[in-house]
Amino acid sequence: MINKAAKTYNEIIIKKKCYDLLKYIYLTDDELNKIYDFLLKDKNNNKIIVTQNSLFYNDGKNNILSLPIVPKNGSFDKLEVSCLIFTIVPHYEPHSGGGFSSGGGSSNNNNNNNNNNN
Amino acid sequence: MDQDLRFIHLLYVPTMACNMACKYCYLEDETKDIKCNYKALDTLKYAIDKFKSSNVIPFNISLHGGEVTVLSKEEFHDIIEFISNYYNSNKELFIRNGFKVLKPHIKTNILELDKHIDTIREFEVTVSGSLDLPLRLHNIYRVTKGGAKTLDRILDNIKLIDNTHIKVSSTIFKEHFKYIDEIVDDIKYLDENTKLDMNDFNFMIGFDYNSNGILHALDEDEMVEFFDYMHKKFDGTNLDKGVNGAWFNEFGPDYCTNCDNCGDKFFLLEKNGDIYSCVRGQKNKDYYYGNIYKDEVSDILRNAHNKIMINHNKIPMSDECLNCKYLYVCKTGCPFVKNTYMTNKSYTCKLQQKLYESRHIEEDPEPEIFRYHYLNVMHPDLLDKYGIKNKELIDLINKDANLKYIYDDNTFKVICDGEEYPLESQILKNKRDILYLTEESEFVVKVRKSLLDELSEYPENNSLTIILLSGDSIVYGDEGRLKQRHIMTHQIYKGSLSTLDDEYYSVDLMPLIKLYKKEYSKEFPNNILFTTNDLRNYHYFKQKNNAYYHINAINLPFQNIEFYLLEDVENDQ
Repeated sequence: MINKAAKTYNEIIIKKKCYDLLKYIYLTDDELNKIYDFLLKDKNNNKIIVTQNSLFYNDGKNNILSLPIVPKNGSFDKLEVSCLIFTIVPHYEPHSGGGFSSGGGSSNNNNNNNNNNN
Repeated sequence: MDQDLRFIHLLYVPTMACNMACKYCYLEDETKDIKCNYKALDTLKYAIDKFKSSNVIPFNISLHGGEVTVLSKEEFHDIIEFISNYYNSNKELFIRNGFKVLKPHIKTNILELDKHIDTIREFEVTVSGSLDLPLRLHNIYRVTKGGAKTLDRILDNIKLIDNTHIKVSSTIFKEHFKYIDEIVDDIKYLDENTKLDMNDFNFMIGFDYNSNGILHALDEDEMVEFFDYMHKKFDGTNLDKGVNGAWFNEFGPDYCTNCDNCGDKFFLLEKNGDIYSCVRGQKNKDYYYGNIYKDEVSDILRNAHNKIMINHNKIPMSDECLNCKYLYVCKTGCPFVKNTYMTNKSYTCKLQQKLYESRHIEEDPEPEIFRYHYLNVMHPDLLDKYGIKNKELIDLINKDANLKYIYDDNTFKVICDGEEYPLESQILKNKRDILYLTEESEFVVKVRKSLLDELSEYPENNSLTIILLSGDSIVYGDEGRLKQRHIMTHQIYKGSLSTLDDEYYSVDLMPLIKLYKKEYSKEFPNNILFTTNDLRNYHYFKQKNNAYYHINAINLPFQNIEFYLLEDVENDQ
């Protein structure tokens, strides 16, 4: 858990993003709190980049610190979290035989039985 | 293959001392042994045991200096014997995992090889030595600490060893290159007058680093000129095998830079337990991975991986490499040299490309797939920019001009709390952007005005269509598919859209978002998509008429962004 009470909307947002990271990777409370503090420290530049192996603290230009992580699943190739946005790059699996398995879409959401022609 | 084992190359430096004082030595005044609490053999044994206890197995141990031959006869013998026994006792493990069982190997200046000849013969040690070409320069640059010439003694020592157990290499700088015909003559001389198998010789291309200002690196055109000249002189001769093989193998796909991250495989250990990347990174803090006596192997491995990754990322990856069809063999070159030169590609790029062509190494037919893999491993910051697109869908879009606007990434933008996000079709992009909104957020969509006219017989009767889907899924439809739950579809007719400027309409989305706030998923990102009524109709018309399109656009193709609506801290925790 993040041991600081969020006082602003921005802090609420960052807190939620930190907790959402836990859907994808294992983090200790200490790591979670450090990530929270890092993102709040420089809202315009700081971001966290996560791959299947590592988590990087990035100051907007360079990865300044990294730590190994254990993913909870293989659904992503990359996560990027900043004060502004949470980006997921879903896992891409090259395969032959045509078709395409991984778009950027969140999940199945075709709605073709709704033809609303006024 | 034993999946839980990691096999590594280990370069061991049992001494930093050297018996020579090469004028351009990269180690400069580091070539002396600093007092150390550990014996050379003890450190090697300790390191191998500690690596093995973490399932890390050196399958290749080479001794490097300093100069290993300055060790006493006994110390040298004991280390070589240990390595030989280590190889023999792990023979089955190596074979089972696809590795050759090697003989002990040393890298040496050959000057005092005779001192250890009994050990070298007893354990069939393989020797890799260095000569300057043309040989005339060897006697100028490679001298003893007292300034004496070394070539004759080295050539005498070469006579002591079976030619299958010794090979030499030469590093080429401008100062060597300008005597290229003498180099050719001396290669022939060595071939004809020594025991060296000159087909098993190799060139290295020097780079500007710690040569005391004496040597200067070739430029890329000179490297290619050198390569071409060697081929001109030796193709079709008794050294054809060498010039088309070992001589330039360093620039082919089998060298240390042909791994995504060399920090996963290559380690240099010093007698005091310090571990660096390799001889290039030795004594450099950016390539220092830890100390085998003081640090856990897991920490050393992690440092190695991360430091190499960070070193590769000091300068952004070049567009040339990103679009190169040989990225899969080159992997952008050595990070140490790139950072020394402050460049972002291999310093021998042109030479490598020339070599790949001459050796019929094929261009990657699908370079975007390897690029994605490489970026994933080494440059994750670029991953979303170079995602793999659905080629079949792109082909379908290119064949039907009417589909263009359904998928255009230049027609919708949302502004959220002062930041603008261009929207892409959710089935063409390879990433998901998720906004975290609060009731205080600014959330506005900008719509390119011309879009309302596209595929529209009566634009005034066309509308901006906004579709809201919950992050929660339900099963519905004849297919029984699990789909995002539909919350609402909202249409704003052209005449009711507010003009932002000459180019765009704009719609404040927050009133709409708030209207349905009870419907949103708190666990999964909710989804908002944008199109026009006429474009949406065309999408379904196309689906009905073209099964390939239907298959490739089975999910909503429209431009989207995902979001959460946060209410208060307690609820979100």
